[in-house]
Amino acid sequence: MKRKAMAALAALAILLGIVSTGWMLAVVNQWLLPWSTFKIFLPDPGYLKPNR
Amino acid sequence: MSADRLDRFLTLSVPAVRWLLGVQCLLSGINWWFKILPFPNLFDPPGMPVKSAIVGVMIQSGWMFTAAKAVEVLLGLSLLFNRYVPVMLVVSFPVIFMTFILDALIGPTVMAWLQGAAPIQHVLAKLLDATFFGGAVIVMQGYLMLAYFDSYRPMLQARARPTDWGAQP
Repeated sequence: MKRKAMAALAALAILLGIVSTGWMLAVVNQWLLPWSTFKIFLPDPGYLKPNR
Repeated sequence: MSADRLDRFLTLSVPAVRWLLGVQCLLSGINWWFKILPFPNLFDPPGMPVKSAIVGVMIQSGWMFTAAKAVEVLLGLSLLFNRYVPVMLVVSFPVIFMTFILDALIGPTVMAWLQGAAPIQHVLAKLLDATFFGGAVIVMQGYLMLAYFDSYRPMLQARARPTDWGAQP
């Protein structure tokens, strides 16, 4: 039971980690994805101005 | 799943989650000094909008957000190089917990939607944010702390004794 609970938590951690870390890697310096993709997580897109 | 496959999955999942959380923390921490992500940076013009007022206050303090980002970088390095992982998970817990809780507090947005003051898109955006940013880091951190629980057992004494200097050579 303990092993199965840990395995379920591990699976959830890996799934959430792949999505969040994967997105973060993809938007580094807008390498694979533009920073505008961040707006799906934000009600107000005012955060997206790069400091260039 | 057979017991052997379960054990193998559990064994492999620890380095996998270490790497996923480590990369995320390192990138997020480094971004404070070198803008590589659409997140706050030390050199952003003053008054740039931030996700929550607390983050804005921490940045205005001149040191608080920098300290949090330094902890993030150290946690990232610890996880990626697999050094001092149990202690860094504890040291960084306040930072990770604050990251989670600031994203998880979607109540005001839900209330605004129920009152017709905010569109459903705002609620969905906050839910995605709470799940894949704050939720992801707290689940990864929590899993790792449970995986390394044996390292914390000696600390969990109800009545701990301080060092007996008289007994030291």
